[in-house]
Amino acid sequence: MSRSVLVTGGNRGIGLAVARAFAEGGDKVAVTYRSGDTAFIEQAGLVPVRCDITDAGQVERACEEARQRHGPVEVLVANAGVTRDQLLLRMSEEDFAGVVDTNLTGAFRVVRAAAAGMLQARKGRVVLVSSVVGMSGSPGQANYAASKAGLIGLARSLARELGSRNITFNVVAPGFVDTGMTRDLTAQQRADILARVPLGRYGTAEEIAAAVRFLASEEASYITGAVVPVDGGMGMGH
Amino acid sequence: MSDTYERLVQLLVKNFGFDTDEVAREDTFSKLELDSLALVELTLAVQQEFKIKLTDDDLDANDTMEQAVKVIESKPVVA
Ligand SMILES: NC(=O)c1ccc[n+]([C@@H]2O[C@H](COP(=O)([O-])OP(=O)(O)OC[C@H]3O[C@@H](n4cnc5c(N)ncnc54)[C@H](OP(=O)(O)O)[C@@H]3O)[C@@H](O)[C@H]2O)c1
Repeated sequence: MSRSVLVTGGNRGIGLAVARAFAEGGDKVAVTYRSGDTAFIEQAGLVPVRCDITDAGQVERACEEARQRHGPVEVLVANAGVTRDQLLLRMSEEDFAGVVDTNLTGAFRVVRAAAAGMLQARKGRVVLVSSVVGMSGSPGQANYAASKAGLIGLARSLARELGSRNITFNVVAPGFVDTGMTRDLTAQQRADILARVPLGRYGTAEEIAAAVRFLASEEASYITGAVVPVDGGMGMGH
Repeated sequence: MSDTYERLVQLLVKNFGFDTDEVAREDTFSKLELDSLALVELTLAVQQEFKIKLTDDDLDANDTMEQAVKVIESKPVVA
């Protein structure tokens, strides 16, 4: 069975690994990108659709493009996200609102754009990529952690709202994964983080992708509103 | 005579499992037990079937089928 899949931020990092995993499973996958070279995306068998998720019009058009290429989106992965770390007293309202706009409101925009097709099909799978810090909190990441916690309330509300239509909403909460997002951490910060991970290492993007793919699979048909940690045990207890 | 009413009934049959004879022109959507989510779905289905654009509150829970037919017929067909 080949489904129409859309992954936001699927041009690199975790999103790219997610997109590849679906494509390997035989699905038709569109990924959003904002700029740059798309040749490698196409070589990976993925369809690039240009979209900045802070712009509702672009999000609508990206869903429409995916629909024209692959049919109405059946599996949506809201993965695009940013950090803008800062201590509270140095964090501007812009720093806060900007991160929320991308990470939380961006997820809302793309879910809303894809939902009409899922409602009509009476089936759909949505996976939101949150973070371990959404539940544990993290100094210097008030904006980011708030946006990631918000995704859980978003997913669980929609799980209740649209469950009767066979649309599931789940959250994957990664721990630390080596991607562009974590590249700037200092050696000391890395060591501190690893000390809090029972498995004693960073995760890989492929390990996150495996959980996303499972939640979108037929085997996960009775799972909705769940938060699945993929964090080497770092967030245990939350 | 237009077939708008019959087509609307067919949408209810197809999307919500009604039998044709369970629906009458004077029934309101709430009498038919269509909740707010079902009205959203019906709005989507009507837009597709009739190639028209409806606003969020064009189909109201207290509207009868007959009133809905009038609303649908008042809308211009979009390409
Ligand atoms: N890495 C980790 O340790 C970690 C841990 C927990 C959670 N996460 C979450 O996992 C997700 C993916 O992160 P990553 O590690 O793969 O980060 P990444 O390598 O920095 O990639 C971020 C992705 O988001 C996209 N993006 C950002 N802002 C966007 C916007 N306004 N419109 C469209 N796309 C936008 C980027 O697209 P461009 O290429 O166009 O910038 C890129 O594809 C994020 O939600 C992140 O919060 C990551």
